Amino acid sequence: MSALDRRDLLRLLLSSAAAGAGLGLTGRGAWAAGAGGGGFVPGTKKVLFLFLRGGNDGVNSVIPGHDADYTAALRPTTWIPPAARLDLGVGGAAFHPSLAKLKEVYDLGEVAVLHRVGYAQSTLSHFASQQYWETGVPFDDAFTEGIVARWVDRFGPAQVLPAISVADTMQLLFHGSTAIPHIPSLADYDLASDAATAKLMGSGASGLMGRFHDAGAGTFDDELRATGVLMADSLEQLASLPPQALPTSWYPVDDADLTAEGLPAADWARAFFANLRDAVRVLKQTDCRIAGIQLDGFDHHATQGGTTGAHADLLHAVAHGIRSARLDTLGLLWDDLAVVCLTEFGRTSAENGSQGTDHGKAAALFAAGGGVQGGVFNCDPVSWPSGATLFSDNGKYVAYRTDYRAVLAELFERHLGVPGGSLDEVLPAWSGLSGPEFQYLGWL
Amino acid sequence: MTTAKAVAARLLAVLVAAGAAGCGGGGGGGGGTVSGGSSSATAGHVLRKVTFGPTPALMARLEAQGPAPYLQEQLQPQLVSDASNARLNTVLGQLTIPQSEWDDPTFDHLVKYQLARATFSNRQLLERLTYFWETHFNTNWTKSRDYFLGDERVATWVEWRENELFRQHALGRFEDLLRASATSPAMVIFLDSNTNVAGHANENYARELMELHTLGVDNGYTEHDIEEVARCFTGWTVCRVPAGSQDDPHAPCGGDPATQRVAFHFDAALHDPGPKTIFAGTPYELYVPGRAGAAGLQDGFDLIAHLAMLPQTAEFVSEKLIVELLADQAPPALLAQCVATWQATGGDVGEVVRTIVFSPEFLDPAHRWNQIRSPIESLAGTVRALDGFAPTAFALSNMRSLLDDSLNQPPFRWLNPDGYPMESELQLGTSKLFGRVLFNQTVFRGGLADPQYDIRLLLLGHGVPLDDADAIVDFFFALFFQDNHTPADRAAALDFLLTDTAGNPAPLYPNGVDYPHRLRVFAAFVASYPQAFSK
Repeated sequence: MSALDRRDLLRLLLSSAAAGAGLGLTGRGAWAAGAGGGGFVPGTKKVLFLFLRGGNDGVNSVIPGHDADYTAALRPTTWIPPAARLDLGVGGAAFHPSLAKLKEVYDLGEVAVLHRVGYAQSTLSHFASQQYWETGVPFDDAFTEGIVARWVDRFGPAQVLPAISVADTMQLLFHGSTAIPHIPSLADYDLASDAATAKLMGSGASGLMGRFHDAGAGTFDDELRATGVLMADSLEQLASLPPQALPTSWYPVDDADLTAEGLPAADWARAFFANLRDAVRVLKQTDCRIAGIQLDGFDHHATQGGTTGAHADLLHAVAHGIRSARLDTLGLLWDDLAVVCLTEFGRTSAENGSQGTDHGKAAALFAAGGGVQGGVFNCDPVSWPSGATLFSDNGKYVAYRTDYRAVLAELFERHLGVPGGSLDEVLPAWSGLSGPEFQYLGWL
Repeated sequence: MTTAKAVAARLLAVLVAAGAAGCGGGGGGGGGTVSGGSSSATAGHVLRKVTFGPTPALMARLEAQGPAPYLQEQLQPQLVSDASNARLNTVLGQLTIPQSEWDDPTFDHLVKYQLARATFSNRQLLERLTYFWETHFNTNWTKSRDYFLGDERVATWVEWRENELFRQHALGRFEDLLRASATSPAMVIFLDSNTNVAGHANENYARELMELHTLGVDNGYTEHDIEEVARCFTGWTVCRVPAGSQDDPHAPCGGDPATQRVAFHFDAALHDPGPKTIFAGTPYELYVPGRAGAAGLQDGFDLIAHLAMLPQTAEFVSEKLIVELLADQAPPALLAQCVATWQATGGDVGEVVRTIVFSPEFLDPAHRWNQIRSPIESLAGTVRALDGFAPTAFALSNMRSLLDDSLNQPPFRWLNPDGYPMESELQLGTSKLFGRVLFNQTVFRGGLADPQYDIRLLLLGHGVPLDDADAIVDFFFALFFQDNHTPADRAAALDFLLTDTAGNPAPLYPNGVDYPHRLRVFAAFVASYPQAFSK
C-alpha cells in the first residue's frame, strides 16, 4: 500500500462500510489498514488499567480487621481504628474509610478485592517492580515489552486505537514493538486544524506522515516510523470525537468541584480526573479496547496519615474515580468493562520512624465492572490467618499468596478472550508456571 | 498594504542593518550554508552527540578543523568563555540569579536559566553533562516547596544551588558530584534523609543511593546493606542557620529569622553512633567505626568515597555516560575502557568522557543516527540550528511549557528518583513526538511571524536565493539534519515547497504576501523530519 493514498483509502473504507460492504482488509502492520477507526460496539469487552505508582499500602487500603497483629502499636500514626473501617462482610476485611465511594460499588457486587498479590522474591525497587508488573516477566531487566502492547500485537484488532495510554509519562504496559498512542490528555493532543497544518501533517509523500512512513530504510528506527504514522492517524481520529457534557462532579478538575466532592484541590487530583475522563471517553466513543491511566504518589515513606492525610486523599480519588467511571458507562459499557488497579508492591506492615511505611511485598488490588465477580479474595480468616500473615515475609512484609500473572491471565483469558493455550503470547512462559499461587482467583 | 517593491526595499534595509552583527548573530559569524560531504557528516555526528545541537558556525568550524580541537576544548570548559556570548548574557541579564534565598529567586527563572545555558552556552559538553547529572541525581522542586510550607523562594534556591554544583563538577570527580548531591538540601528532603534517625531508619535514600546513583539495581548489595547504609546517614537533615554558617553542617540551627539561611545540617543527637559493616563478607566490605558526636557525619562521607570507587559504580555510571553520548547499547570494549579510566583516574568523569569521545567507536558509522534525541535536545536543537534567528524569550517559554506538558520531562520537577528515561525507545511515544512537532510549528509559525525575524532575512543572510527552491531545500536540510536524506526526502520537500495547501502547483514569488508564511510552514515541516529527531 502506497503512502500516497491513505486518505483515499480511508474514504473508500468508510463509504464501503456505510454501504455494508467491507473491503476485507485485515491484519495490523499495513500502514493504511484500519485507519480512521470505528465507534463503540456494544458487547465488546474492554479494560481500563489504573496503575497506582509508588507502592500502595495494601494493609491500610483493605484492612485485615481480623488480624490481631494489626494494632495501634504496630502503626502509631497510620492505624485505622475499627470504628472507622468499612467492613466488607467476610470476617474482618474492611475498606479504609476513604474508599466509601468504592464501597457503594462493592455493595452492588461489582468490585473484586484481590489481596496478597505479588511474586516470588519480589524486588523492593519501584522501577524494577513496576517493570516486572508491566511486562509480565519478573527479573528480566532487559525485557521492556508491555503486556498490553503484546496483546495488541498478537490479538488486537486492526485499528488505529486498539489501546491508548492517557498519562503524563510513557507507561511500559503500553510500550512494545507495536506503537500505541500515548497522550497526556485529549485537550493537549490537538494540532490546530488549519489548512497549512493539514498539509504539514499530511498523508501524501510530501507530508510528515509520508516522511515518517518512508523513514527506517537503513538509518532510522522502526519505532520512529511507526510512532510518526500513528501520531498522525490518532490525531485525526481523536480530533473527531463527538462532544460530551457530563456532570462536573464526576471528574472534578476545578478547585471548587474538587472541594465540593471532599477531594484536595491539588495538581495530581486535577490531572488524575482529567486523564480518567479522557480514557473513559475514548473507550465509550471509539473501538479502543484497552485504556490505561495512572496515579502517582503512593510512596509514603513519611507522614502517610491514617484515616485522613496523604494516603487517604489518594484512596478517596481512586474510589471517586471508579464510581464515576461506572456512572459514566452504566447501560453502555459498564457490563463489558473491567477497571483494574495495579500497584508494584505493598508496604512494610509496621510503620517506620517517619510516620510512614517503607517498600514491601504483597499488594492489594481492586477490580470493578459490571461483569466482575464481586467479593474479597485472600483476606478472610482462612486465606489470611491472624497472627501469621503480617510478618510472613522476612519478618517485615505480607507474603504473597497469588502471583500477579494469575490475575492478568484471568483478565486476558476470561475477559478479553485470549485462548487459554495462547496465553504465553501475552504472558511469556505462563504455561510453564504451576502451583497454587498461579490458580485463578475467580474474580471474572 | 505594502507593495512588493516596498517589501523588498525594507528587507534589504533590515538586512544591511543587521549585517554588522551578522544574521547568524553574536554566536560567531553565521555565514555560509553547511554543506554535504564526509567532513560535514562527521561534524554533524559529533555535534549531535555532544552538544544540544549543531549551529551553522560550529558546523563550519568542525568541517574545517575536524572534531578533535573542539572536543579537547569542550573537555576543559574553563577555557571556553561565555563572556562575550551576547545571546546567553542577554537572557541571563533578564533573570534574577540568586546568591541566597533572600534574593527571592523564582522557579520560572531557574528553569529559564537552565534552558538558556543548555541552548546558548558555548560550554555545550559541560551543559549536556550538567543536565545528565540533574537527572541522574534527580530531585523534585515540588517536594522541597511542600517541605518549606509553600515557600517557593527557598525551594528554588536549594534547587538552584544544586544545579550550580552539578555544573561546577559536571566534568570533575564523581565523588564530588555524589557528595554535592547527598548534602544538597533538595536531596535530603527528596529522599527523606531528614527523617532518617537512629532507631527509626528511613531507607529511602540508602536504597536509591545504591540502586540509582552508584551500583545499579540489585548489583551487589543486600537488604541488610541498605539498613546499614541508612544507619550511616542518620542525623543528616536540613535546618535554618545564622547567615554565614550555611556551609557548616555542625552550625547550631537558629539565628535571626530575617537573615537565617537554609542549609544542610548534621544532627549528632539523631545519628546512630554504633559501628556499621556494609557489604559484609564481600571483597569490598566496608567497616565504619563507631563515632560519637559531630564525628558521626564522617560515616556518610566514608561511604560515599567507598561507593564512588567500586567497580560496579564505575561500570554503571560509565554505561549511562555511553548511552548519553553514543549508543543505547554500550559497546563492551568501550565500556571496559571507561571502567579502566575510572579506576586509573579516581573516578574523573571528564577523563571517562574523553575516553568515549576519542574512542574508535565514537566515529563508527554504526553509531551515527542510532538514537532518538531527548526532548530537550530536540527543542534546543531547533533553536540552535537557527542560531539566534528566533525571539529568545518566546522560544524559552515554549520550551518550558512543552517540556512540562506533552514532552513530560519537566525541568526540576520529575516526580521519581529515577530521573528522565534515557533509552531512545522511551524518548518517543505519540505525545512526545507531537510535542516536538508542536514546538517547531510554534517557533516557525509563531515566533518567526515577528517581522524582525522575517524568514527571508534568514535565507538572504545565508546567501540563499529566495526563488531557488533547490537551494532552499538544501539550506534547511543542512540546517536541521546536516544533509542526511534520501532522494524521496528531497522530492517530498520540493513538492511541499512548490505546492499550495490544496496541493496545486504554486511557484515561489519572494515578494508575494504569502511567501513568508509558506516558507515558515515549510521550515517547520523540514525541522520535523524524522532525522531531525535523531542523533
